[in-house]
Amino acid sequence: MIVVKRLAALGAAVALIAGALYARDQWIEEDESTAGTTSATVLVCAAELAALCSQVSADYPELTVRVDDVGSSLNSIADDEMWFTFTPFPDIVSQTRERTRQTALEYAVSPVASSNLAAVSLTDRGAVLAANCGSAVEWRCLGDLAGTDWSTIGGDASWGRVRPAFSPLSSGIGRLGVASAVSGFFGDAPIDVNNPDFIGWARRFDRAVPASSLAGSTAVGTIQVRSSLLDVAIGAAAELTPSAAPRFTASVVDPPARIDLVLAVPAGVRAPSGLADALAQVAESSGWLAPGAPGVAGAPADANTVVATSQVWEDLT
Amino acid sequence: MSFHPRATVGAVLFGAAVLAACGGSDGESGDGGDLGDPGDCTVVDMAVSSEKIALLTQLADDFNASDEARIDSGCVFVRPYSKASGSAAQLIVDGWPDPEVNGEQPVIWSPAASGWAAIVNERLGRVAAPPGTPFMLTPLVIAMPQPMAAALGWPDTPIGFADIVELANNPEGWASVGHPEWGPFRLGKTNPNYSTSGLNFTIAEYYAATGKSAGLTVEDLQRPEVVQFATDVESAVVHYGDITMTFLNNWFATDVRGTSLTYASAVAVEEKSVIDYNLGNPDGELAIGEVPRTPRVPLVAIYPSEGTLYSDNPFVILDTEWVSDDERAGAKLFELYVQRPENQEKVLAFGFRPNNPTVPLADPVSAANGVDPNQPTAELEVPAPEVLVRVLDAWAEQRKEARVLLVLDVSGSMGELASSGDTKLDLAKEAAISALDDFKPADEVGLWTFTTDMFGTADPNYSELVPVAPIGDDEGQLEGAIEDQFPLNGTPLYEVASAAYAAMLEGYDPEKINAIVFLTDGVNDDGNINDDDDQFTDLINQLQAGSEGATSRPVRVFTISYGDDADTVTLKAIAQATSAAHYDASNPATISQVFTAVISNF
Repeated sequence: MIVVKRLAALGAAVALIAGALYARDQWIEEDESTAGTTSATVLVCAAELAALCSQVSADYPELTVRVDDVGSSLNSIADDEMWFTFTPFPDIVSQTRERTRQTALEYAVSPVASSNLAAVSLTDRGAVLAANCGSAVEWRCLGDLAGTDWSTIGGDASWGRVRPAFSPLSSGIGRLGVASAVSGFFGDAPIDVNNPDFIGWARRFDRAVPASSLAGSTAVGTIQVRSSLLDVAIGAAAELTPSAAPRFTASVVDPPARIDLVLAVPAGVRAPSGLADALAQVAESSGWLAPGAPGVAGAPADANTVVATSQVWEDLT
Repeated sequence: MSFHPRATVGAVLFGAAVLAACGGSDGESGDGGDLGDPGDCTVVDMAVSSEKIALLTQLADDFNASDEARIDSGCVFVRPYSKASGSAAQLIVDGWPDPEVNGEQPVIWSPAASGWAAIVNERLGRVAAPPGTPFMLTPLVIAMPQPMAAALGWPDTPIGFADIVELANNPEGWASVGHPEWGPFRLGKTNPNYSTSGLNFTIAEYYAATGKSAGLTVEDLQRPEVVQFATDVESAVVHYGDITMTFLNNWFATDVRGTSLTYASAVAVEEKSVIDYNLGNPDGELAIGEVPRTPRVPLVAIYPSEGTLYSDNPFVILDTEWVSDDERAGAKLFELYVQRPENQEKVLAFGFRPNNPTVPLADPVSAANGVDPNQPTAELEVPAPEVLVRVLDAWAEQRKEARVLLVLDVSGSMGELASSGDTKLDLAKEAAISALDDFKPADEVGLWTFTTDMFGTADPNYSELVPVAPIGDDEGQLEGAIEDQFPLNGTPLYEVASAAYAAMLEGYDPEKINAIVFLTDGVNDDGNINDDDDQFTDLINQLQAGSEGATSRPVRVFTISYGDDADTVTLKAIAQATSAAHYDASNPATISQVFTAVISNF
């Protein structure tokens, strides 16, 4: 009988300990780590990344995914919305909020994937471009060639004129491309929007391929399905799909620039478990590289540069 | 995770608004098939250009049944229907009146090319049609029968618009390249006010005239040498029309008889149409029971060496007063759905090029079907909106002139009530008078009416009310003559069709499009049924004999079946015998729209 009582007491003790451990796992630790947070319900996805979001959406039924141009999100993203976008756009939102509303909106930013910013062209044109502007394409050279007949720089007359193109400024990749180009034009010198050489150089890009021609798509996306419209597409090397890759060359730019994908979670909001990893997984299977992977060079553009150069480009083109 | 566009879609209750079956010309306008009852879902009506209605109907059906269409507050129900790009553009500018006839006011508009949206915005002076995401692609090509292309050096020699124009203007025609048996060079080109292929070819025509590939200006269009160049090109046109399928169907029909090389030498179409034709499905839609037939003479796609223009099939979510935020959000969901790789793969099966780069270009976009997936290598720049509008104005002045006889049935059945107290004849008169404005002053237009016993029991059973003469001289006389008509007796269809054809052939003018517009609501009824079969056979033989061969003098007979009782089989046969087109106005309410489509041939 005593043995039975001792066994019962032992069982009760084990049950109490197990219950305590369970309670700690379920409630106490969570409360400590997520005090004052709410679960995220909305993930805003940059339009260029819609396909990636679409691939993970089924695993997160509690989330609503909204696809939006980065240009729109900069002005409209809500304080409790997560954002799958590019560096440095969360920083831009934070800074803008602080300046205009005097209320901070801080993001916890998780790196998801990276890619080189590249100049993508059909292989034959890429070779001529490299011969003229370097294997790492110099921005000033590329702009100077915009609108020039290929035949005058060693290309075939049937190729017509050199037509480089950025993605629309409404897109994140468009803004990052422009930031790199303008920075590359001025090098270490400060950006001078009144510099006549710069004005002519910038306008040559727009005359070569009006931004309106690419409505609804990125430059790299467009050149793969419609290479007759443009010759050099500025964008992420990762946008080049495996099936199209053999026909194209993706040259890095000089100075090298990196495009980083990030999941930005506003302070006070709790992301679903594993979301950043899931996005990283689909990004890598789509050609993006892991953060810090070898082969990705340069640094992402900073917030001030992107804001300034986007405004300049919009005014000029 | 639910996938949402810019805003959450609320449930908007729409009744089961029935899509108007617009009748219209064959393929011009109509619904996309029965997609079922939308129930309480947010209905997203979608006007799409005719060549992609089958594909979008399938995609909409899949979407409506999918989880993608389920939203927090209900569901979205997409309902596509066919509407020619140019017609839709004008309807948007006009505020999309009369949905019963024109189709429900669309939330999404998918014209064949983004240029139409630019035209709408330019005409309205505001952005009602914002830039839309391209859905799929197909370039403008010049379709030619393979032997004709080979005679010009295809596939080794690049062929450009300039080469086509030179041949079109050569008085020797095909004899200049050793093929007198093919007669003059005959160009098929649709009306740029309605058709994207027509619009794009017209733009290319002006570029060819200027030697430019970008930066076309209003000033360019006014230069005398450009005007002359365009006028010369247009002079080679067989006829115009609102859809390219008319040409492809006629080519296919003449191919059966072995005469396709003398119907048309080249037609400006989308690449996808060449694929469809060579696969034995010239209009891209197989009717129930229709079996594809490989043509005897296949077509090949010429990608003009100067560059070409693309049909990019944008999804334009309209910014108009009839589109609510919920509908706009629902439209965005469908837009995302069609861009998914698995749906982009479906566009290939319809002969289009996917817009999603993750979907590789593959069959049927292949050499086996007369097209080259590695072409085009160059593009012409889409002109600025104000230039696009001016291109249309310039074309209206420079297009080939027409010589047209309107033949109207005034039999007793035309007195039947159609709607709201109007008789069928009332509606037809109103539509015919309205359509007269679409002619240009130099066009020659005449009017016959027909019924039995017009002059007692003596022949003829028709009356020449206005002789064929320049309409600019006295449009009022035509209007008055049409206005004065009233219903009388029987329908001597065969006799009058034959007489009208003979009369137009007698006055044939090789510098003009010679044509008859023949409207009737009945079957042949001349009081003697014993000779009907012989009459019909004689008529078709007469029409075919005059319409085929290198030295033919084509008088095209465009027929309109008016009301439910018209003899559509006969009217289609008449149109086909002259390589023209048949139009269906079985719903009398659509007659005005149909007349507009018919007159687009001139």
